[in-house]
Amino acid sequence: MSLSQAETLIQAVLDGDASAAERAELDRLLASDEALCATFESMRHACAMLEASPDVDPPPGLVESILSRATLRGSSRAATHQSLSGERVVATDASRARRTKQSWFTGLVHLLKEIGMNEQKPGFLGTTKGKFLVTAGVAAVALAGLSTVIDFPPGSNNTAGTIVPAERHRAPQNSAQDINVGSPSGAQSSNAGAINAASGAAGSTGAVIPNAVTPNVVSPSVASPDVVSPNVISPNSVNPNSVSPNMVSPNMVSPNMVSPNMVSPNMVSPNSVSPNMVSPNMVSPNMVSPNMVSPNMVSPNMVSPNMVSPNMVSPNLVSPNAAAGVRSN
Amino acid sequence: METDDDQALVDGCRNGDRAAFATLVTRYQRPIYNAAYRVLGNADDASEVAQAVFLRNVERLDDYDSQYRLFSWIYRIAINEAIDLLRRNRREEPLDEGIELADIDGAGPEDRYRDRQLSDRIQRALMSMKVEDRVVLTLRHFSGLSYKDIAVVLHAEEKTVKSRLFEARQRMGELLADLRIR
Repeated sequence: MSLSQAETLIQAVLDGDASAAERAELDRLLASDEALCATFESMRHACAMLEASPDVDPPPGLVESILSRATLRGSSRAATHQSLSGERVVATDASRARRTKQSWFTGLVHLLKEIGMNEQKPGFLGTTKGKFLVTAGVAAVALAGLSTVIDFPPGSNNTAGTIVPAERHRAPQNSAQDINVGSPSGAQSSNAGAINAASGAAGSTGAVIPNAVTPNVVSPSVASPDVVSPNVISPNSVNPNSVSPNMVSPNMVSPNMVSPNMVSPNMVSPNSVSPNMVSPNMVSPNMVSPNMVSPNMVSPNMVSPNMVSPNMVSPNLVSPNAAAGVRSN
Repeated sequence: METDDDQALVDGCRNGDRAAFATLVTRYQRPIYNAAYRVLGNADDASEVAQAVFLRNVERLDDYDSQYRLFSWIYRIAINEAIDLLRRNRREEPLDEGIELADIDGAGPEDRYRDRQLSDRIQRALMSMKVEDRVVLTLRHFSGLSYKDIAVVLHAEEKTVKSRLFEARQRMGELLADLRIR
């Protein structure tokens, strides 16, 4: 691309090569063209600053370094090879500071390479086997250096939550010896059975049995004395180790869980209570209060003479008012 | 730039005269280093290029064509070495603040500080430009070469050099618009 007449004149003036006639011509053009005038002023400003910028001093020792490395005749090739090796002889303060930041590892690898690749050295390193061994050594050092840098394989200090999966907490499990599912009426009861009895067995069997769990089955901190009494299950029935504190917390079984209100009259149907299930010893006079059984709960059809024997229901169980209600129905 | 006895220095170097080579290095190391610094923007790289230039100079003395001036030949080697280094590195480094500016007689601390600011500002502007623009500005304004010599160094036609320099000056004017010279 060639310059226009105006651009050629600008260039000549900026270079100081313009004649008086050329300067006058440029002045005439600039006077009639504001954009050209702005361009000229901008370029002149830039040239003035470029010319005003001072030289940069070469680093001290540059000449000596060049002279020491140059071999004029017969060995000029060696001098050139040295110059292309990437190693600087002359260094500024900045370069020295930068080089000190390089790790010992880089220097060691470079040194090993220099030793291994120097073909002019006779002997073992000059052989193929020697080169192979040196190369292998360099690779081993490189791997060792990398492992120190990136911490691989990971040590035990820095692996939490990263590579090794977290270990789950597992409570001691019940063994076959710990769990003994005995008969419902037996004195031997399993751990689960004991807990069921304590927590929710105020159900259909009416088996809210006071004195059902011994202190050895559920520790005092687990169940409250109101729920568990010391007399029913023997210490041998459940291994104390099988019930961990984590399984039954004090918050799980509270005295409020089994209240008199939980046992409603509707829960005990005539069909579910057979004479054999409820023995006189199981139902104490204190279990059913007069307030629990209303006259409306027990209809004449529900309670047959065969169901409740005189021995089962004590005189205290049904109040005289209730009996009167039955009769009235 | 002394050129009259450059051919004698070349002849001396060809004959293994180390004194001639020392004279040649002493004469051109500063402009070569400055040119390399302006193109590369890094003092260490400039030093590396300067060394490579003279060592390559020794190696290729037999290739030197005496119809061209010696400094044009040396500058060509320097620019090629610098561009090669830029291609090899392909990096964007922050401006090198480890450089030492040339002493100016009678310059006080304020003058030196101002010179430093100006030099850094111009170097930043240079480094933001295309390499071709940077090279032609360097050869013209920092090395003081004529259009003809620049054309020799760059293996280009003189009119091409003029056109490229015009554009480079325009661009530099835009980059330094906020500066005002003292």
